[in-house]
Amino acid sequence: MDRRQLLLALAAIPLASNASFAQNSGAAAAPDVAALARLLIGRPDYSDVIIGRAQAFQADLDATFAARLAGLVQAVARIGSKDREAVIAGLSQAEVATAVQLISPLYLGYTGSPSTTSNIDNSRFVTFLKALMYEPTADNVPRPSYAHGGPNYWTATPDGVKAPPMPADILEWGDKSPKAASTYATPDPRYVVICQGHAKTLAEAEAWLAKK
Amino acid sequence: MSNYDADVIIIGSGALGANAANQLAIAGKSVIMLEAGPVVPRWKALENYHNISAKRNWCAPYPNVPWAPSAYTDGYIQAKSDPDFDYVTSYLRVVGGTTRHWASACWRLLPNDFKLHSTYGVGRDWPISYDDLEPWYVQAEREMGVVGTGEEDQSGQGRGHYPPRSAPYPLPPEGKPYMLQRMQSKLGPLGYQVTHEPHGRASRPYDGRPACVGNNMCEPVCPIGAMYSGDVHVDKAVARGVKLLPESVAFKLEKGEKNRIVAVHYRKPDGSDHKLTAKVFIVAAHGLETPKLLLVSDVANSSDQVGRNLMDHTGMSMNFLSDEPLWTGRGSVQHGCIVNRRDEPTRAKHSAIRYSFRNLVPNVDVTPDLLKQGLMGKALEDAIRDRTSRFMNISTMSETLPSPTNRVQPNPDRKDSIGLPGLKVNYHLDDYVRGMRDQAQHDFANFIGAFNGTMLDAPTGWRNQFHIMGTVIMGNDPKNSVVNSDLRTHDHENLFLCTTGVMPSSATVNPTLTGVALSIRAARQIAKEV
Repeated sequence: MDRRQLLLALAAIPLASNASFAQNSGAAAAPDVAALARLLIGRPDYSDVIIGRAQAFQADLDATFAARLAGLVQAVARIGSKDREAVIAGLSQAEVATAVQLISPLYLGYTGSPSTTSNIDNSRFVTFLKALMYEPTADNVPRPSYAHGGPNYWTATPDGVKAPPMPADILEWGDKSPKAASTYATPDPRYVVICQGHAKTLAEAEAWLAKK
Repeated sequence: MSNYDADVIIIGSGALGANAANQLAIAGKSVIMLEAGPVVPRWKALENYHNISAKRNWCAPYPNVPWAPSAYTDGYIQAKSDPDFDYVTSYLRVVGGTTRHWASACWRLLPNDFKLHSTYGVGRDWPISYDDLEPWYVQAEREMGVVGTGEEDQSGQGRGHYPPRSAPYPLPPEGKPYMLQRMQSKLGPLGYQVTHEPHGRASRPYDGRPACVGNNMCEPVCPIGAMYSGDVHVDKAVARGVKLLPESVAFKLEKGEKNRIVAVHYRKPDGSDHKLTAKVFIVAAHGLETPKLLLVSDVANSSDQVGRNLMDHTGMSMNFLSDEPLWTGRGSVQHGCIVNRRDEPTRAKHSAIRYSFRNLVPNVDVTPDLLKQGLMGKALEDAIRDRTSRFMNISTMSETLPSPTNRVQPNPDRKDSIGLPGLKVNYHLDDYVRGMRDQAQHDFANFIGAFNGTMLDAPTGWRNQFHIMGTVIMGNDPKNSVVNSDLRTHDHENLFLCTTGVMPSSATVNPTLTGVALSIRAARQIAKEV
């Protein structure tokens, strides 16, 4: 494609399928809500604009959210602690639900329920680079699309893992790769039951087999 | 002076059409390539990915334009399937086609996949053999920069280095991720051989592409261009003089004397209609869109097989938590699989099976459930780390057979913005593919049992793998097939179909490499004739 064709094409590119792009006009969260969110996520310098976006989008999804959030702010003030774990421990079940509603978008990076098979859903983009769910694992896996190491970094034992003993040449493909046993093992019938959807746990599977 | 607009017009700019265009351009032919969708540069798809909410929606970073709806456009595909299975497929209508959002598995079929009926008494045989296609597999692997090892038995039947190869893979295999090291260590003693998955992610710089560094986002767009996608050959073809016409939706193939195709009519987003002529036409517009164009044009269908025999690798999937950290998500999205049941004698009775180890960063899979549980603070972050480290997905690629009642048709009740029809799909699972369920569940039980796993999603439902085959089926007999082994339609001497829809058997492997090999082979034949 020549330069002119490329420029014309770029000018014509519409937005991607899902109408879920960040809204540039998002207002910053009110100071008390921003402070609450920062306390609950343990990040004192987290962007109040992203918090504001999460708050606004959750309010759009749930008409009761704003009032419950105001109540949560008061409840946390009553607890009177700046310690995240102490505050969380002091919340009622209903307050936990509201708190999770506030911070979920900050961990996930979106509100609503994204679809994997349709261009229509109720999800909205909140953040990607500041989505907190990637932080607890940042030493071992990339935030998708970003580099984590050079080629083949993935062959190393991950941080914090003590690799069990493995066959010699486990890193090899092809002729040198360890060979499988020549016969198949018989599966544990409890796991067969679980794979058939009759039970979720080994105990449930044992009960299912006993009845049978 | 020529009386034609081009020697060859190609409808569709995906990997198959673009490879055909490139070959024809190398041969000095004038080529016009029509594409329904827009140009989307890699950087734009990547930027879109960063800014969307649906990170696991592989179509979402690409434009959903009203004149070329995608598979995920609401109502564009109206499907009837089974009570326990919803037909879903995924493809893109953009320059470069659906390989823009694939994971690039580049398998060869096995010799028996070409003679399923004569070997196992089910399905159909191809009119060509593995040996016929083998040199073209070599060519396709070189064009796509396929990574693999020829030292493994890809049939899983103890056949040594198999299938036979006349040349090594262009690129050596990448390193084995820790997760696969653990899979092989634990599943090998149970009888399952973990093998390398051949693919199009460069393991070292190749043909202008950098080496993959494991950004873990092959789907929906490789951020650095290490992975092969159809736009590679669009660019090559255009550099060699092929004229690319994006946003040009072919809607009619016009017949002329001696039943030859004389023109293609296409419509622009503004509704204006245009016409182009050529000596030869190639439809390379995806396995569902190609039969749609043929059916609305009333061409190539004397056999009444156009749109029929729709196949996918409809199979099962299991998510579980291991009792040890595996850390999926290190590397690219797939590196290895289990092929033990790819070519067993049981293919006479039920579907063959290939097991695929998914290697996506699983944070987006595990975190919503933890939040729903009300976890916050350190407990939440510890749980994210713990679950992410132990999450595992294994799925099947299952073989389906060509059935005339599984079909795609134009849907005149659903029109896009330029008045062209949507798609109706009728796709049901027969006893052949359902028959693999018991075997698969026993194998899945061995897999999860080896890791004392906790089941998250049991392998009880069915899902497609978005691999379209059979819809313009290849064969020797014009009464029951659409194209011959050169991909030439039986009905029209100068109309060829470069799509995985020509494949008469689905086997258990991704069909794109086979489709590219067939397309290169067809293009070389066309170049001799034009």
